[in-house]
Amino acid sequence: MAQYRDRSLVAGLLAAMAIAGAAPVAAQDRGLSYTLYGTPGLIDMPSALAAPDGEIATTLGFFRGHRRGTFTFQVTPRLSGSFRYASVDEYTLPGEPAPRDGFVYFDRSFDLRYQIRDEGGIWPAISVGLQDFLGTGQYSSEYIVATKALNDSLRVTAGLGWGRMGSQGGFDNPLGALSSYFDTRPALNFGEGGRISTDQFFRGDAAFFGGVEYAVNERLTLKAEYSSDAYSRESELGLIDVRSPLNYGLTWRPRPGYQIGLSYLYGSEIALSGTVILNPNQRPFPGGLEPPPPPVAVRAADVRAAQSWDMGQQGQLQARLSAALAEEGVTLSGLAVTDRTIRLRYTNTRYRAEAQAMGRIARILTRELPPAIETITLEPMQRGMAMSSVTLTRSDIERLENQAGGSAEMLARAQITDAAGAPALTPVAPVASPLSWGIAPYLALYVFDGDKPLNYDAGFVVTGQYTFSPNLIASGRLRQSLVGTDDPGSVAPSNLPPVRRNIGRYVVEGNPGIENLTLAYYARPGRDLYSRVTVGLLEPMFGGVSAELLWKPVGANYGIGVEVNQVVQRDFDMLLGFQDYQTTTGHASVYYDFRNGFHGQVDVGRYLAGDWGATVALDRAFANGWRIGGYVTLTDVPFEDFGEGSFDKGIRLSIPFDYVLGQPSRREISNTLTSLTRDGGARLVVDGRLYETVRDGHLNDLSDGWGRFWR
Amino acid sequence: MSAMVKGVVAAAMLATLAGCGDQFQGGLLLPLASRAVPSLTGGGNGVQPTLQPGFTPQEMAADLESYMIIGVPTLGPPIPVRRIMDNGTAETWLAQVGFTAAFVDGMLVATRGLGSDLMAANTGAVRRALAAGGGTAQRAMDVMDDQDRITTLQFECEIVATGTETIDLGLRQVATRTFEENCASAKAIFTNLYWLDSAGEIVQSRQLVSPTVAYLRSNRL
Repeated sequence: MAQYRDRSLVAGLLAAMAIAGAAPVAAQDRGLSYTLYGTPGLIDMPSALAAPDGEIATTLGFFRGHRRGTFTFQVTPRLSGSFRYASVDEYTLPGEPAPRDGFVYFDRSFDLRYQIRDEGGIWPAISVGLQDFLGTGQYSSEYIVATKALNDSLRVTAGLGWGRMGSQGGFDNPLGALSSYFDTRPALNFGEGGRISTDQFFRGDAAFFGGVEYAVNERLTLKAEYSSDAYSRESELGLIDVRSPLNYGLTWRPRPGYQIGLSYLYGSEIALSGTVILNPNQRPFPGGLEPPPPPVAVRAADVRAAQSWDMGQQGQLQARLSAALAEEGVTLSGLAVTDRTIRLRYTNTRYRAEAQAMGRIARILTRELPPAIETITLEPMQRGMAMSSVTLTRSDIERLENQAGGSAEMLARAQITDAAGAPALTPVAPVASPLSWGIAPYLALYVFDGDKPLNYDAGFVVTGQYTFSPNLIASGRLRQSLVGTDDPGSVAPSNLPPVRRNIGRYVVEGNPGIENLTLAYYARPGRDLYSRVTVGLLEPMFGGVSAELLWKPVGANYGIGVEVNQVVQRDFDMLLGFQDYQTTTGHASVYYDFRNGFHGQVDVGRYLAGDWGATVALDRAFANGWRIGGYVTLTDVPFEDFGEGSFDKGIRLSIPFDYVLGQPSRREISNTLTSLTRDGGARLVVDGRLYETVRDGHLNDLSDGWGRFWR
Repeated sequence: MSAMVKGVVAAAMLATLAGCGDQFQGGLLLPLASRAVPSLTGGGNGVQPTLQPGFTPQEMAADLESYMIIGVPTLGPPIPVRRIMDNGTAETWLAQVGFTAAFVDGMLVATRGLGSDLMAANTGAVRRALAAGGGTAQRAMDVMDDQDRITTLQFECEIVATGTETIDLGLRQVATRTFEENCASAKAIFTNLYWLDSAGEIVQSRQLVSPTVAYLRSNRL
């Protein structure tokens, strides 16, 4: 075997590692750990540290009788938000009667934190936070906190807390110097929860808290803190014995992304916590594991000058292309060729980024096309709708394949326009069978019972799809539950029609159940316009007709859509029958891509229960397909009628398969964490909504994924 | 055709199969499991086995010019690769385990299928400096980050002749002149190594792919 010289290998490797630009672990990042509340901090008290941008930390914290599950997302480098689901045995809110034996109190809470300044020079990091500022306020506190690393191993934190964090060793609010408004904190008006308790913020007694963290090594951190939370209500109910405000703990990181915490709380309790950290900015498989693309074939100079070719060969060309594209998971459905040009319409079924499919198609074309063809127009479709028209020159493809900066130049030279109104193409019969089906296991978690908040259901689903033509698609999904609850639970009734609150009955009685069974027709009625009509059993609880029209120019950051649905409520058995309730529901929607990683959407219209209102949603959308966001729906249903939570709100998360697996895939895992499923502000669920379908092929998303063009 | 080459090639192929074959045929679970336990897949960095014809010792012996040996640390021992495209400028070589490497006049300009690939590189000035016996040159390398963004890294490089060495390419002993290419940017440094034969061809090299994949070693047969 070849002899290699190794003398500088190690040095070279070490040097090469630095290329990633990974900053050395800064003192303040070292050993960032999470509290029992799932926020960056000490043990029960927060610190001023911010997690790396985009980081998602899921923390479970336990001590006797208390359970807290928290999902914390670093929304921007300075802003983070937390959603918490907690339960406390035999707890009731202050002012309420003592609980009966065996009662378990469940609550959801939201936090926001903002890092006012990062650590630097003599300055500590400083953050301000609102804990449990929405909801029933069990954990409601405000704080301002500073954290400073004294050296690589030692970090100190000191803060001032209000509300719950001002209950131990509290003193008169220093803000009282500004106004007597701050002197007293009014009693919480819990109502149905869900309202922002601005009348509480930074009012009443304040107290100091603080602590130290000592990093023994990269894996182990020891902590001690002075807590300003007296656990007053818990002590009153005899749920905890607070003997000391001092807490001691350790955090162990067995491997990056995992933390285990153990602590001794308030002189009487042992607490345990575990955190799993994910960061969309760090792929488990950098780049991806897809097989390499075929190399570009470059025409020799003499054949490049050809002006025409034997068009009689068109049939063979079409067959060869169809087969070669199918190898890349691309279904060719039409093409038009001339002496010097080719235009193709196709559906990419494999690659998340349409740009990657385009690059692969471009490479194949350089190998298959007669030399005279110089201009290549690619028209990607999804659900039969051509989303854009991207024109490339073959000479650019030949020239830029291995050129540094070739990806950006390719994008700059591509002409991206609307595909509507283009002349007809020669249809190409699909290679794949029009029928596809699958069977897969599922596990679902439901929140449909105010007293027993979490139910699960597991079994399998059978899905089937028949494609009559690329834009006329029949599809269905049948669910068979194998294990799960047989108690449909109960959600307190309201004055509204029961459009969603019987979800438990659908889950229990609809077994087997048809989740959906629809026929959908998609079209391009004109320039910048997209349309959809779907009929059938649209979703588990409603069937009927859904029609949608979207206006979305290819290069625009915005789109406007209208959707109208006439629906009838389905029977609980989730078969073909219907109940009496029927309604017209629909929305006008505005979509906006802020081009800084954030996407906004506002839907205004009539909801399933006949209530009128609007939903505002904001998502952080990562170029690699991750989406994390939240939404709020406010309708004309009074908070008292809505019931617990006052209005519908939730956070949602979508993770692309290719991130998790490394292999190319267009699928994603999506989930929404929401308040109790209630009837106000409930929206119809229907597959194939246009904006999300179409935007993959539009300028912004093509640009975001363009780094994959040459992959 | 010497029996030794057949032996080298066959051993390399066996090592390849043992080290990386069937890597992800476990479907969806294995890649996930391998994240937790890197040793499950031999620490391999993601190549799919696409068993291609064209790698039997007989085929290799019949057309040695179309093969060379490439080694990447994440894939284990060096393995044979076959030229699948010659564009006149760039030559692309395919490994049986399913990655490709493209060279322009012996200089590595791109890889695919290694995960954290070299997306593209401009190496013309470095190649001219090698031909001239040394000098300084700039090189540019495209890398892709975890958000699908391509960054072009610019390096200032110094090409230094380091002496002569007779090397064993497996089939033949070749007298070579040796060179180091020391490159630096504000954030990183690395060193590529080259062995040039009497005709000025790069017959053996060690060139940087990316920080994760590190160096790719190549030698002609």
